Amino acid sequence: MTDTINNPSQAENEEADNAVNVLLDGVAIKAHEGELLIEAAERNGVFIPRFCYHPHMKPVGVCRMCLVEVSGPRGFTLQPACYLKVQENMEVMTSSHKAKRAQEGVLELLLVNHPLDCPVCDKGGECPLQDQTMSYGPGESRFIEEKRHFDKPIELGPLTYLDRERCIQCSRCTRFAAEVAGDPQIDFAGRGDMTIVATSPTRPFDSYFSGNTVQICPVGALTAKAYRFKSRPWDLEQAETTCTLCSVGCREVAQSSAGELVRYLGVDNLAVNQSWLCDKGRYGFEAVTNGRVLTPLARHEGVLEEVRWADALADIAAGIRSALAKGGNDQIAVLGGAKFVNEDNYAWARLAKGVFGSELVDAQSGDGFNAELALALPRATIEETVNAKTVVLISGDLKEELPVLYLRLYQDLAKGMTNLVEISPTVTSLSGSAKIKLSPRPGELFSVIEDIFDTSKKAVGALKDESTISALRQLLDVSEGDVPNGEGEGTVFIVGRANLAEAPIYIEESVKLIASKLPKAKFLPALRRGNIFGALDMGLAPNLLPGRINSDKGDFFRRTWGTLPAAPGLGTPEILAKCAEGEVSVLILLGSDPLSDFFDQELAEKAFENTPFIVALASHLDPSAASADIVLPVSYMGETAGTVTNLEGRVSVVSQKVTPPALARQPWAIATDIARLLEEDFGFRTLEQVSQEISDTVFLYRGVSLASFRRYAGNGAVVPVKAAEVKIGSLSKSSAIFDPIATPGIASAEEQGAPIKTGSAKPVEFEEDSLKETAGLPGDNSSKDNSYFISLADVTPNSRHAGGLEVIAEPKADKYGLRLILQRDLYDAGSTLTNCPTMAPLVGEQEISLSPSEAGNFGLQSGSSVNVTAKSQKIEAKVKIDDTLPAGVAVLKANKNKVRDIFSAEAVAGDISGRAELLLDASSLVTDIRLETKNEKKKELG
Amino acid sequence: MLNEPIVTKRVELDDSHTLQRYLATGGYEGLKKALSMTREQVREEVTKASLLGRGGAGFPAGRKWSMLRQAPVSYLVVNGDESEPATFKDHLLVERDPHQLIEGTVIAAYALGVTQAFIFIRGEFALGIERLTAACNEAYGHNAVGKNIFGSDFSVDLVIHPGAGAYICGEETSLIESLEGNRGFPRIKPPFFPAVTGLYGEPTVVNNVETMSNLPWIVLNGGDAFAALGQGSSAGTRLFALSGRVKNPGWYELEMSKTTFRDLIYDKNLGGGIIGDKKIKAFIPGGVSAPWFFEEHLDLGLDQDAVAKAGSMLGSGSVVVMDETTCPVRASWRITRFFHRESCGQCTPCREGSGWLEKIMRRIEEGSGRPEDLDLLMDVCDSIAPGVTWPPQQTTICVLGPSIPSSIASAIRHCRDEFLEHITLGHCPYEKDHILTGAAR
Repeated sequence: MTDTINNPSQAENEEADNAVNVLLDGVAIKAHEGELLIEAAERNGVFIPRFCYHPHMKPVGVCRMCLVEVSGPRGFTLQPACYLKVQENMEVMTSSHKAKRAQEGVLELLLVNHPLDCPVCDKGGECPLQDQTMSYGPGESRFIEEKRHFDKPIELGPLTYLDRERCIQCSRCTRFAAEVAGDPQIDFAGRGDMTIVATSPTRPFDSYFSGNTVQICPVGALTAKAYRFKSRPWDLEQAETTCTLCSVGCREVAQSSAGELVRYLGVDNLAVNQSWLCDKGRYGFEAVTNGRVLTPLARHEGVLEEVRWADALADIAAGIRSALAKGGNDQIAVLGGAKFVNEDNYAWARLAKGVFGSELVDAQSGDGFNAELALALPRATIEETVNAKTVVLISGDLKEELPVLYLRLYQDLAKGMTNLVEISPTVTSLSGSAKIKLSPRPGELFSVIEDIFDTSKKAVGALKDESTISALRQLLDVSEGDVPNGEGEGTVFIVGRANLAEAPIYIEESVKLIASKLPKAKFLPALRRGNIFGALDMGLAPNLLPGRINSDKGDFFRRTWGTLPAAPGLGTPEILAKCAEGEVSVLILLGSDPLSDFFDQELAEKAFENTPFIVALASHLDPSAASADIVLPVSYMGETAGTVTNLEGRVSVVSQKVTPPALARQPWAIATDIARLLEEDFGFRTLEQVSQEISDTVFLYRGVSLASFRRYAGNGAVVPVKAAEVKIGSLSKSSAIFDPIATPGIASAEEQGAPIKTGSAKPVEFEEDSLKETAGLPGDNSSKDNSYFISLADVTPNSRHAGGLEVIAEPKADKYGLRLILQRDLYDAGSTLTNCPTMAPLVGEQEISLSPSEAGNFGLQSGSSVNVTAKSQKIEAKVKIDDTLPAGVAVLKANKNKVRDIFSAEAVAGDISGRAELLLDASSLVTDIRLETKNEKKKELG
Repeated sequence: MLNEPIVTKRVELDDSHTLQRYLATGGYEGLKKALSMTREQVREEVTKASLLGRGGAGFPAGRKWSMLRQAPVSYLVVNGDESEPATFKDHLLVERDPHQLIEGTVIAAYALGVTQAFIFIRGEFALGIERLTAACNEAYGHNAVGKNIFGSDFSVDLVIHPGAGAYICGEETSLIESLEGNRGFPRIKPPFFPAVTGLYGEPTVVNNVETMSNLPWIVLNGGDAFAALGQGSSAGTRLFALSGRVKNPGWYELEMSKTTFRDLIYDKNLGGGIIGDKKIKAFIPGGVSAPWFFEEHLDLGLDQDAVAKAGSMLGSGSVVVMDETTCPVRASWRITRFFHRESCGQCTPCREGSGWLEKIMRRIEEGSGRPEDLDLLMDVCDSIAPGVTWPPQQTTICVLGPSIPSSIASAIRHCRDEFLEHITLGHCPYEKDHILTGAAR
C-alpha cells in the first residue's frame, strides 16, 4: 500500500474488477466493493458532511449529519452515508430537498446545546462544526431556551482539557481511546443531552495518545494544554515534516505563530502513522523554547563561558590537529547522530571517517544492537508488518519505545487477521493480543530461540505444553515432521532490546539464527532513537560506510573522501572504555548524552573524566554538554531542514518552520567548517548540495534527495528506490478534497487547501537524469539485486565473546539477589521531556517492580521505598508489585534521574539517586542486584 | 366478556406466584405437552396461532422465529424491560404469574432449539425480580428448567438479568448491548434483526413477556383455538392497561378486535366511564409513543390493523384516557419530558430534539409561549421524524426518536386553540385541575 511506489495501471484494473455502479447525484460512478458510501462519494468529488465518521475508525452512524437519500425496496429513504456500504445500482441523492432538510435539521439541533463561544474557542476558524454550519446549516438560530451547563474546562488528563458544554457527543474521542489506542480510559457517562465524556474517578485520561483526541475532536471540546489560547488558526503557518523523536518517523505538520512553534498535528497517510501521533511527539516541541544552548560555550577555568563561533571552531580544529598527529584513527571518537538529519550525519561521517580516519564512530548509545546486523536484515515496512500473517515481537514494549508502531499493530491485531507471538521477559502492552507469549528470563533468550528451531526439544523455555509448542512452531513456519517449512514467508520479526541490563549479544545471536532458519522472514529492527537509521545509513557506525555497505567495500569512498579508517571500528561501550582508560584525545558528541543515556553510568563518568578534550554539539545543556569543554549550539526540531530515515528505511523530509535561536547552526555546516579549518573542502555551501551528494554517491539513496522530495511532500520513499518502479507523486491541488474532519486544523491554516493526503497526489516519474549512474558507483539502476548492500554474511562476528555462544551461560543469582531487567519508558528524563512545561511533570520516579512473592520475601509493600545495590553503588526506588512478574527478577526503568525540573519549585538539580544506570556494568552479560529496605542493613531471606 | 382468560387466570390468587399454586392450576402441562411434540410441531402451532408480538411492534412471533439464522449457538432473550409510562401489563405477569412466563420461555427455547435463555427484567420491578428469581429456582428444582427437562433430552439454562434503569433498554438491540455489559445504546441497522446477529454476535430471538406467557395455553389448546379468538391477524386475547381519567383503571384481558375502545373505557365491567362523567377529550391507544385518538375513534375495535389504519398503534396495549379537564399541553409536555430524560444520547436529533421540544412545551405550559412556537415545535418534530407522519420516518437509529413527536403533533393538530389560549392568557387555563402540580416538576 505504499503510495509513493505504486503501479496505477494495476490499481485501475483491480478497481474495474470489483467496481460497483452507483448513481450519485445523477452521475454514474464506480465504487469499490464494500466501500462506505461516504468514502465512495468523496473519492468522486462529492463531500458529504460528517462529524462522527473518521476514516481510520469503525463507523457508528450516530451524529446523523451524513444523512442522504438512498434508493431501497421502499423507495428513497434517509440513510447515514458513513455507515451504508455501496450496492450495485444504488441511487443516492446527497443534496435533494429531503437530504438537505435533514442535514439542516441535524445542524440546528447540534447547535441547541453548543455554547457558540467561537470567538474565545481554540477551534474557532478551523472548526468542522463552524465550517459545516456555514455550508450546510440553517441561516439563523431559533433556540431561545437556556442551554445546558457544566463546570468547564475540566482536566481530563495531564495534557488535555475537556469543555463538556462544547461537546457534540460524536464519540470520536471515546472510540479512538478504545478502538485505536487500546486505552479505554474515557467513555460516555450520563444520558440524553446530559451525556458527557468522562474518566473513571480513579484514573485520569493518561493515555500516551491523548493528543489525538484533541486533533480529531470536531469541536473545541477537547483542547491541549500545550496549545490552549496560544494562537488563532488563521495566524498559523505550517510546514509538513517528520517527527524525529523516535524511529517510527510519523508524518506531521509543524505549525507556528509569530515565529514560534505552537502545535504539531498528525498527517493522514496509510504508510506510517495514519494521522496519529504520540503525545511525546505532539507536545515535545515545547522543548524548543526551553533550556536551549544559544551560543558557543567554552570551558574557561572550569566554567563554561560564551565564546565566538570562530574561536570555538579554531579551538576544536587545534585539538583535532594535535590528536591527528597522534593518529586520527584511534584518538578522535565521535558519538551520536540520532538527533540529526541525514545531511548532518553524512557530513559528520565524511569528517569522522574520511578526514579523521577514525574507527571510533557510533551513533548508538549501547542501547541497540549490532548496526551491521540491523542494516543487513531483510527489512519489512510498517504496512507489511501490520498486514503480516504472523508478527513476532522480540523487543521491549512498543508502546513505550515506538508508540505509533504499537498503535498500528494494536488496531490490526484487534481485527484478528494477524497472529502475534511475543518473546519478552515481561508483560507488555501487546501481550494481551498475543496468541503465544514466551517470557525468557534475562540470559535465556538465545536458548529459547534455539529450542524453538530444534524440533527434538519437547520444551521451549518455560513452555512445556506440547500443543502450544507445536502451535508456536507452526506459526513460525518451523518444520516439524512432515510439515513443510515455508521459510518464514509472511512473518515479520520486530527485534530489539527488551532488557538493557542484558548484553545485546543475546538478541544479536537470536536474530542471526532466525534469519538463517527462516530466509523469507522479514524484520523490523526496533532501534528507538529518532533518526538512528539515518545515522547508521550515513555510516555513523562501526565498520559501516554510507549506504549500508561494509568498510571493505569502501573503495569508492576512499577515492572521493581521501581516507578511511584502517582498523575495524568499535561500538560506543568499547569507545567509552577506551576513553575511560585515557586512550582517546578528543570526544565529539553529536547531540548524544552518554551521561544520561549510556547504560553504565560509572563508565560514562570515567570516560568524561579521562578524556582531555570533549566537544558537544547540543541543542540543550544536558548533563554531557554541561561537562564538555566546548559546546556548540545546534538547531532542533522545527528549526532543522533535511531528510530522515525511519525504521522501515523510509526517507522523508524534515522541514524548517522556525529560525534557530541566537547563534545555533545546523550540524552539517559545523562539520563543513571544521573540515575547512583542517584544509578539506567538502564543497557544501547549502543543505541541498549535501543532499545532492548523498543522492549521487550513496547508492542506497539514489534518486532520493531533497530536490526530488520538495516536489512531493508525501510519505517519503523506502530506500533503495528501484528505478523501474519509481513513481513519485506531485501535489495536485484540484484532486485534494477539503476534508475538515480527517485532518482538522490544517485546512484552515493555509489557504483552505487540504494537506496532501495519501492517494490524492498525482503520480509523476522521477526525472531520468536524477537516476543516471554516477561514475565509479557499482551496480545498475534497473537492477533489483541488493547484493551490493551489507548482507548477513558480511556482519562482523561478535568479538566480545570470542568463544562463541557457549559463554552465554546464565550466571546464577544467589538467594539474596534479583536479576535485573532494565526497560525504557516513553516519559524518561531525556532533554526533550524535561524541557517541556506540560510534560515534565509526567516523568515518573524510579520504580522497582517485583513479583508479589519477592516483595513478600523482602517484606516490602507497594509504594515503600527501597535501596537497590550493585557494584557497590546504591540507588533509591519505590516498590511496585507486579503480579505478572516471575520470582527472581526485578524491573527498573532507564534514565530516571530526578528531573532537573526548570518549571517547578521542587527542582532537584543533578539528583541522580534514582538512576538505574549506576548499577550496570558494560562488561557484564546480565546484572544482578540486591535490595536493602531502608533503615535496615540487609534483609535476609527466611 | 371472555369465557376463559389466557394469561391472567391466576393473577388474582394470593399465592399465584408459587410453584405449588402453579402446579395446582395446570402449570407446566403445556411444557410437558410441548416436549412430547417435535420442535417443528410447536413452531407450527405458534404460527397457526397468529400470535403477534406483545411488546409494541406487533411482529408475528412465528415469523420472527422462522428468521432465526441457523448457527451452532443461538439465544432466546425475553424482554421484560417494561418502562413506558402507563404500561404495566408485564409488571402484572412477572409479579403475579412468574411460572407461566418461565414455562412459556422454556417452550420457546425448546421450539427454537436454544440452550441458553435470558429474561431481561426491568430493574425497578423489585417484587417482580424477587418472585421471578424465586420461581426460577423453584423451576430448576422442579426440573422445568435446567438439564433434561422432565426427563426429555432437552436442556436449557435460564438467567434472570435485572436492568439498570434505562427505558432505552426495552429496544431490543439496546437490551442486547446492556446484556453484554455495554452501555445501552441501540445498535445501528443493518443487520435489521437480532435473529441474524444478536447477543454476542450470535443469532438471537427477543420476545416480550406477554408473548411468552401466551405459549403454555397455545401449546395446550392448539394454535387454532388461539386464532379462533379475535379477528384476522389480531388473534387471541390481549392484556390492556387502562389508566387516566377513568373510574376503574387497571388491567383487562380482552379478546382482540371484538371489543371497542368505547367498551374498554365506558363498559361498567371495564373502565366504567370517565371520572365525574365528564366528556372525553382524547385517549392514547397504545402507550405514550403512539399518536393520540379522539372521540371519533372510540368505536374502533382493539385491533392492530384497524388502529394502524386510523393513524396510531395498539403498541403495548396501554390506554390512557384524558377528559375535558386535562390540559393537552401539559399532557404532551409530560410525555416529552419522559422521552427527553430517557433518550440514550446517541443520535443528535433525538438527544437534542427531545430536550428542545421539552423546553418549548414547558415554556408554553408555563405561559411564556409565543405563537410562532407551534410552527417551531412542528419543525423540530420534522427534524426527528421527517414529515411527522404515521407510521413515522426517522432520522435516528432506533424508534425512540420518532416516538417523541407523536404526542406533540397530536396535541397541536387537535388542540391548537388550547395552545393559543395558553399563549394569550400567559398561563395554563387548567392550572387548578393539575393533580400533581408540585410533584410533577
